[in-house]
Amino acid sequence: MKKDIGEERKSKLAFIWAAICLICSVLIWILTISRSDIILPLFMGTAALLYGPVTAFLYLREVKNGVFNAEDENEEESL
Amino acid sequence: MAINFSEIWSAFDWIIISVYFVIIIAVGLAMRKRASKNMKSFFVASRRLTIPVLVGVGAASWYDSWTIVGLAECGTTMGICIIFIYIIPTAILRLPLAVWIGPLVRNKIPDWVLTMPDLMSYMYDRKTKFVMAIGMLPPFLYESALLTAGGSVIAYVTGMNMWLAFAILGIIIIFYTSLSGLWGLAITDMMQFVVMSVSAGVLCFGLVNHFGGFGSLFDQVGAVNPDFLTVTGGNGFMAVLGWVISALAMYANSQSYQRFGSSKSGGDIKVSYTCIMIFGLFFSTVMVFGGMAALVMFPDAAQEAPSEAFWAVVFTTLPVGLRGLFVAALLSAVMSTVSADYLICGAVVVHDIIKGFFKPDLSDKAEVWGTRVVIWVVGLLIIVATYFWSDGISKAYYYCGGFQVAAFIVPLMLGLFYKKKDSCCRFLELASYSSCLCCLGVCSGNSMRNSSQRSLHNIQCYSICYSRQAYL
Repeated sequence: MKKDIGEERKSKLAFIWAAICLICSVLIWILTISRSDIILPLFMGTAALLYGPVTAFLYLREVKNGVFNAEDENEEESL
Repeated sequence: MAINFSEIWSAFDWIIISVYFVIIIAVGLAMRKRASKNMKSFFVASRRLTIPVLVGVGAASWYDSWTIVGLAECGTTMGICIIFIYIIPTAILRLPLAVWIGPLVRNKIPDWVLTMPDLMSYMYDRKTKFVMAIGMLPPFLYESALLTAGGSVIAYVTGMNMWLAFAILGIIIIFYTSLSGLWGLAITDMMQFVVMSVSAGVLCFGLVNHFGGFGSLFDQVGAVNPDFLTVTGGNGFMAVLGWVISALAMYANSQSYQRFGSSKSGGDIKVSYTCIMIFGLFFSTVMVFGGMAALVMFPDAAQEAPSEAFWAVVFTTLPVGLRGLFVAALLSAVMSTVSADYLICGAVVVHDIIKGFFKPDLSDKAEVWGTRVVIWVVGLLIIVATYFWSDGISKAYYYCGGFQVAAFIVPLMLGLFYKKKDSCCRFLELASYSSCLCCLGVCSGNSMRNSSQRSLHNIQCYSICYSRQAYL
């Protein structure tokens, strides 16, 4: 099984994502109120289209690393 | 009807939907054994879920058919203002839940805390647990609104009887949820999340293709009603406040706390839930534009039944096959949220009420089986309750979300952050609860359109008030 990333690094990652969330909120606000013709739909459409498949790729990697086997291993250890 | 959906529904669309249902049921069967071990395994997947898995289960349960059909209805009836008064505030206001409260709950709670009533028991006492458990039950009626949205779509596209569609969808959800618990949902939710994400992207590009960019869409919506292109949409302060308050509903959402409990660590919650907020921004905004397109493409249908006009847009702008995918996305959104709530409802009844107060010696196996039975009973009741919500979903969320905030957010937050659980704490809790409920009453008073919705609202309010009186 792969080595898990530390809590500190996860916190840093979370704050980066939170900052991205704020930036995206501002962008969507500005693009919507300025009645953007192409940039807004391109931005939203691309993000929505890619979000699921990219997460699914990371999910499959996690499955390969044994996220669903973890319980069985715990039980074997306790035996 | 704006267009005859069943005429343009192709065999390829049928194949996509059928394959989707078969896979969901197969996952339920495959994960059955793993979920049957004990309540911790069934309800919180043994607290082993990591970042990508949490993104799937979190997003699929948060973004339901309200996010698709409800926000599209809002786009049709309110214009772009819903982006400014609900979608963006939702993303920003929920960030503290992701980076602060979720991890705090996960890191603070002992292993025996599985459900939200368990959490209340840990923070306060057993009486509070009982009040919370009873108070959590009436809001589950919202599931019938979600089921209505999903079943209506099946009925539109296939020409099937609407009540039969509600029953089929409801029974499939009951089946796989009762079998596989959260372990199964960790797989089905991820599949459903991917379908939702891809469908939103496809719809967005379909709209661009149809209108040749959003500029034309903005112009045509502005010609129908200039208020639809303003930040407040012509809504008053209280209406805007009502929307912002409902954005806080996730702070008191039982699914969120269940997902927090199922994570491997607080750090996983931080990363996954901030990612979910960003997804929500894009996904929700696309649906609003879909609703606005319905207003200009099918103006007559949009006035009579906004959701039907939205589906007409989907069927007009998307090619064969992708329509099936979009219907699958709506069903995914419904199924993932309803299944999560069935699971929680089963646990509240069996784990919190029956085992917690009447039969403390209930074995692990019996608890899991009892939860499965309750999921079936509640699921069948919810199918019957779809009768109450046959006229649209947007209002259902408006007051159910607000009600959750009023009833649960104050005791939860005070429990987490106010150290001394004394009479002062109880006074603060009651005072804040009452003011939230008053605010909710003022904001949503005119929004309930028929007597059945008002009756459901009364059932919810009375149950909370009675249980609180009993407690105090």
